[in-house]
Amino acid sequence: MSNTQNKFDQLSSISDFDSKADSSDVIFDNGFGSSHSTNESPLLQNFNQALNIEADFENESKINDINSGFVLNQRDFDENDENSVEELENKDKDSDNEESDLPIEQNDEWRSQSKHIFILSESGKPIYSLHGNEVNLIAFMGLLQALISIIECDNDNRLNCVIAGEHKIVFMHRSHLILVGVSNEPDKCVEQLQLEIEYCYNQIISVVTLSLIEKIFNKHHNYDLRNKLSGTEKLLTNIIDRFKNDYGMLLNCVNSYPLQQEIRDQVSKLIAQQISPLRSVIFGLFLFENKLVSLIRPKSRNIHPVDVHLLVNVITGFDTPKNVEFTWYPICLPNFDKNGIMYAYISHLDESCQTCLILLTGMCDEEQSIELNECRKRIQQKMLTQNTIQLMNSKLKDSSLRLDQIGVSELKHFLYKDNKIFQYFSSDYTLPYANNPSEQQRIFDMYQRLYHKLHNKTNSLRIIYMQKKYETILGWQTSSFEIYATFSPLVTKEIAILAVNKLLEFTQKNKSKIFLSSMPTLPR
Amino acid sequence: MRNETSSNQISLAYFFIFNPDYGQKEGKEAEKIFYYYPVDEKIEKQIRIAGFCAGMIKFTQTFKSNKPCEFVHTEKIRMIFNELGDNFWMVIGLNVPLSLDKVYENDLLSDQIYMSILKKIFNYYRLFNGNIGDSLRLIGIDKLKEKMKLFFDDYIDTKLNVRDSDILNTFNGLQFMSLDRNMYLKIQSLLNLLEEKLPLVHRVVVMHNDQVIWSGLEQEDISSIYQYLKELISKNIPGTPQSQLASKFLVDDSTKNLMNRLVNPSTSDNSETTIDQHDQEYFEFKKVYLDKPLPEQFYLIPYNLSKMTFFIFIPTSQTFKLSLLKEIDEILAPNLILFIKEISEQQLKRSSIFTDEKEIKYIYFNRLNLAQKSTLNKTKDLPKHLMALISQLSKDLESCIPSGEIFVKSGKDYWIACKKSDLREVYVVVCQKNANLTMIDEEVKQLCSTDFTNIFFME
Repeated sequence: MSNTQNKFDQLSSISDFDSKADSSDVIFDNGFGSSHSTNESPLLQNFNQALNIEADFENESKINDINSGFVLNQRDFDENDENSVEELENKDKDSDNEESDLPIEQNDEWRSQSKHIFILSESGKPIYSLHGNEVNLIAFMGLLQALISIIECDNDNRLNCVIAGEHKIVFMHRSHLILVGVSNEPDKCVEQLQLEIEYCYNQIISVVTLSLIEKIFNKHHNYDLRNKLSGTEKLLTNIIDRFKNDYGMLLNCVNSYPLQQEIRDQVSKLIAQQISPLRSVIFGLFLFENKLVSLIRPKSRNIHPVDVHLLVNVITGFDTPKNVEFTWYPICLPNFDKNGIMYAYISHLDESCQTCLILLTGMCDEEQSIELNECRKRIQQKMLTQNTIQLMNSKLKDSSLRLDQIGVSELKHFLYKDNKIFQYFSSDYTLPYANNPSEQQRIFDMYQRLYHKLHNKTNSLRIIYMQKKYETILGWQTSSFEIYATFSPLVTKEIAILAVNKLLEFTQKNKSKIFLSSMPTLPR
Repeated sequence: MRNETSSNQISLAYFFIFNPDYGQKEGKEAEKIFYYYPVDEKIEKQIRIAGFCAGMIKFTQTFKSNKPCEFVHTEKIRMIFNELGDNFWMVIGLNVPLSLDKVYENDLLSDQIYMSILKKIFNYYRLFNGNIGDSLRLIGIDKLKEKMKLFFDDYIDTKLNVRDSDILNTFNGLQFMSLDRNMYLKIQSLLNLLEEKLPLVHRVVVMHNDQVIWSGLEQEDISSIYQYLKELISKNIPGTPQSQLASKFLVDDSTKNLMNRLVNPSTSDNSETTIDQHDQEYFEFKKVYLDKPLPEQFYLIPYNLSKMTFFIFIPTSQTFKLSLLKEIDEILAPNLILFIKEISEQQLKRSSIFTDEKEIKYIYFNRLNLAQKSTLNKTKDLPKHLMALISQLSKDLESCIPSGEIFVKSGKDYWIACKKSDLREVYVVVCQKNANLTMIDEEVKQLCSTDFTNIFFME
């Protein structure tokens, strides 16, 4: 993300200035006193100890245990305490490569995949591959590493990307990791692919923390990072999948859930009241259908949209069985603190798993677990009495936010992003795009092109108006907002401008419904 | 062009031609390099760069892409690969300019522009030297390397300009001369007459000064040779009276003398036999290879009278003598003299109603006949990044099928409007503070109605 300074700024009642994330040692150091190994949350019980690092490198003192990263989803780590590479080999991620004789690079099906993502360590050790088992790609990854190092040896240069016809191959070398993205989708531009591998990079950091990666690789160049990542590969695959058409990830915004202000306030107040007395809870997020309804945060800290996406990725990436009441998940939020781990208490408050409550704390032990459980149960109770879930579902019947409210029939779809609060609104689609996912994907791809053109470093543009074969698209960027709109192909400029003006009125009028604002804050 | 590093301009880092099939044995890797610039580069570095390129080509083949490796973007150097056929590759490395804040401005280099430049270089090479594969068979590796050195050393020194390249390089278009209809028909009929009477004449290109009136060549060929034709004309400005036959054919002095001697024999021999004692080889007309419809080699015979030039192409498989040249002169000269007079009268009339230099700058290009027109004055008009932007937009315009338009606002002042109608494109640059979309639209519409009345641009 090129805009790491931008933070997801909640409009609280007191105007907030962008506070830089000062080193969060202040918050976390206190929390890290206790060792996590004594926690007894039902699911974390399955592994008693952080990964047995002795097998890999020297013993570290208990005090440093915090950083020796346990990083797993409990589910996949059932029987074995120690990871061995064989276990990973037995995992069959893709049934593509049946023939073990042929090196995978010569397998036609693998070669014809339209997208590849490769992650390897600086020394060429495979870590992840979207298609094909990375174990079979050792030679290929060695080649990637060689290409990069040849360029880097020459005058401190850096390999950025390679283009061959429709194929774009982007390279990233950061923090001892090499990430390579390959795509031949004609609509995806190079910058989009770069954004994608940036998300993959953040996903890895969220599992391992930056300081651990640095520590490990500074000592052992040949370390196999899969040891630390096992169980979380599906998060990588999931984030790549979600990136295909998630507007929030493209625009660097959170995905927010439009809701009447009264209902939202009710929910936020309820949650804030309950978690306020729990000193260790730093953030509280309430999601409905994986979109943000409320965000309760301390006055002085913000949470970055990318971090929220990583959290949502955990929820959507692991398929938690429905009867599980809660999960603890250790996570590092790269934009909050690259070097520290937070613990996410994740719980669905209803049976159909539409809602999700996430509480981020700095520590995790038995006492914590019990406290948070009680808190969650209270919230659940109150929501039941207030009929919250029903109220939130009623959004479906609310037609005040539909596209036809704007009244310009040539306008087929639009996106409105508020640059100050990092939230966006996506209208519904009218014919011929309604109920047609491939057309909607096409619109996404067009907006993606517009987005990168508007934000190009050398040639940033303010307005783009493009009349193409099937539609006319408009992209408009100002300091306070961005608009992306799709019109019918023969629309005139007058109508387009009229529509945009009406759109602006519409969003102004409905601001309270579509965006989160004035959330209660925690006294921390 | 000298090799400068880390400057704030785009500059040439290296340019070479190699074939990875050669030099595969250990210790003999340098054999794969057929030409390298700068010539004084250490051989280890040459091998390393060529080896990297060969590796990159192989690497991209892993993914079954529809095209071979084309562009490699590194932070400091941009590499562009042009596949020449027979596994020969032309690679250019360009230094990325460094801005004042020490940032490498990669977006200032447009891939398409430099690929077009490479293709143009190769077409130009092929014009005079034919196919590489054929050359290899006919003259062998060493002679081929010599030929390449001769050609490319000269080209890089005199013609290659990487700093100021822009979208006009992608077009490689021609300037057409606008002619009155009658005049055009007259010239056409003269052409037909020439081709009827002299069946050896296969193709003709007619030019007035440096503008094309008629081209009998296929698009790819005229595009490659246009540059050279312009050069020929400019080198041989007819200051001397053109009563002599020799001065009408744009040849060098030694050939001129030869011709003069033949036409005006001092001896009392029979004039017929003396004229035709030499065949075409003696006149040293340039031989060029044209590609379409079939690759063939031709003699290029430039016949010039005042401002009009007829470029006549005769296959090298034919023989002819001076008498042919005399015949050409006899057919063309009398008519041309009249034409030239008429044309200059018309031009006088036209220039009197010529309007002042417009505020609006534009570039026009017709992909069908390669006509291009530009009212942009490169050096003073536009900041560099805008020229790069125009090049990007032309790529986007390709997706507007069959017609469409793109309007963009860059920064506070500059608007670029691109309109495409089938195979014609117009790029209009308007610099106007605080203009909005409607105002720009109006201006562009106005421009189209005055300058491009015959073309239907969608609203």
